[in-house]
Amino acid sequence: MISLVILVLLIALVMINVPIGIAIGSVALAGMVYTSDIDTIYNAGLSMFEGASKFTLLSIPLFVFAGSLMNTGGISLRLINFVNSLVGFVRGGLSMVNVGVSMIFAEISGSAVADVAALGSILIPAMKKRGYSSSFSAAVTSSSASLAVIIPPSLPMIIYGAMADVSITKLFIAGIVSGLMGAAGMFALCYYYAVKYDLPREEAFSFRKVWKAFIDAFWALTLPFAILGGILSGLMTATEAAGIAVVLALLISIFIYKEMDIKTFYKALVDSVSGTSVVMLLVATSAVLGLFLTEQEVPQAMASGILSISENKYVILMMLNLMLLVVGIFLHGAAAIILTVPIVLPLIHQLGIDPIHFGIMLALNISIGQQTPPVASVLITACSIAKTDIWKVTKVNISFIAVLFTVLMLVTYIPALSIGFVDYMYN
Amino acid sequence: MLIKVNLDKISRILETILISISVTILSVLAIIIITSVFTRYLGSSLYWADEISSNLLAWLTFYGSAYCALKRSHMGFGGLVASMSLINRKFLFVLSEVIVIGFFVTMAWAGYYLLDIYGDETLTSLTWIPLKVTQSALPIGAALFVAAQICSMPRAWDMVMKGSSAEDEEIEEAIRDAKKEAAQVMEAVK
Repeated sequence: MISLVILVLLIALVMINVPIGIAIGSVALAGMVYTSDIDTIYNAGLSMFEGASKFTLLSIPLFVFAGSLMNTGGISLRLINFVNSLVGFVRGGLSMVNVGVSMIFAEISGSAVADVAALGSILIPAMKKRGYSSSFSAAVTSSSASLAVIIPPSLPMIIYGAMADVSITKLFIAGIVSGLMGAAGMFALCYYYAVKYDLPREEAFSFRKVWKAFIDAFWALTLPFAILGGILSGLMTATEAAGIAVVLALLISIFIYKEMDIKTFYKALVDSVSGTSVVMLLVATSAVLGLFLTEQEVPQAMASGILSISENKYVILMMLNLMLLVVGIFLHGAAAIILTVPIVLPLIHQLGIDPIHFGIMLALNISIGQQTPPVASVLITACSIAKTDIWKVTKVNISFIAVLFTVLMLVTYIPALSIGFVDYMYN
Repeated sequence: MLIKVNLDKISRILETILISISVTILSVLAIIIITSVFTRYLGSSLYWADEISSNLLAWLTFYGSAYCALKRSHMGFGGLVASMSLINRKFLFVLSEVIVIGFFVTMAWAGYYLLDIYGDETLTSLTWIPLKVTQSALPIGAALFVAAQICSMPRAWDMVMKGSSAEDEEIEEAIRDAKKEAAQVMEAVK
């Protein structure tokens, strides 16, 4: 009963605009004091510090820093030019460039809003100039940025890995196939719209242009390849790869592209402090909530409650998807992970579902959640850049959301799509 | 009016202090992790790197959170309140501020009490660093959070009066920054 009261209280606090991290900490603290005594506030303090000092989360500030350096270092523009030279010749090529660059670039800096603003402020005006409608430009920018949640390196996956005690490297590997499937779906959809609305081709394909753009973007491309290559080859842990990403981003921006001065470097540092702290406060206070939930045996009660409805693994997976979709609609990605993982993880273990498989499902639900108002800052940012109405964009965006949903269903019911590649790599 | 002017002044000083501390922590953290990657490959790992980095992450969390409180950039859901009537907005703003400050006052107290419990205990890897020092980030960070929340109240109150939310401001700022950077980069590339 007390758990239900706490849940209602939590929703109420979030609705009245108490920052989510503090809402989580406050209700957990209130619950602990109510069910135990005032001395439990010391345990809460201890849990909060321990939650913020988890070793597995160390890659967060570094990936965020590398992402901020990429946002300010002229790297994004070169990646756009390179992808444009590859797919720009196809009808509707600029929308495919949007999807392609997002796969390489987005969901790294800790602020999905900053990432989508960095790409959108270049691509959306360019698309509009070439005759794409504002709503289509905003929809493709927004949904492809969200697809990046499942493509490594992704901050939500790092948070999930730390909370579920799952290898972040394995999660990154598991996200690759579903990420590529989502990208293929979005490419196909872009082509469909391009034919339907007679959208233009960019420059004709030429190996010379590809080579020139490749040379120009070579150093920028080394970044994602070094991160992925280092992790996939087993040479580096996620934290080490994040460290190398920072070194590379710095070297490339300062010495090769020469577009970073002290001012932009300092701004990247300040942005990284914000990006990291906002996420980490959530993680820290969620440790207090985790303590309270464990004391109250809520995860066990939740598991037996769901199992009493059905013991069929596939039915339960569908119920979990529904729950995650609702949570994702109302909460930001990191907050959604932090709230749901401690509650549902025992059930996942009990059913014999691989937590890596569940992690990819969770990430896909978050991607969809980012595209659905009221809490849809990625979508709102894209709409603001395109200077168009959120509902008009949503009408177009439904088809992109359908792509994400299809990938979610495939990943849910064909576990090999996520864990198959991990098994292959590790065997 | 006088209170607002003084709060603005304190707010600027607090911002300088918080961002200096946080940027320093992030820089040191990055340097330690990057150095430890290279030393590991050279066959002589920094035995203290893991423990110190983990503690620095907690420091970054608490000091950086206080900075974010000053900037009102913590993740929230302001859309519903922003759409309410002015009287409701005012009431819910006050309630929300009381909850936030109450939580961090409690955490500052809990953190301060815990420092006593640690006594003479030290870190495992670097025994000359007392746990009291590493754990001090919670009470100090929580106290700074309260100060930052109070200092940023006038600006947040203005947002309440206008009926806008912190999320709206974040999006506007991100777009402004991105456009400026895109223009600079395009100029440089030309």
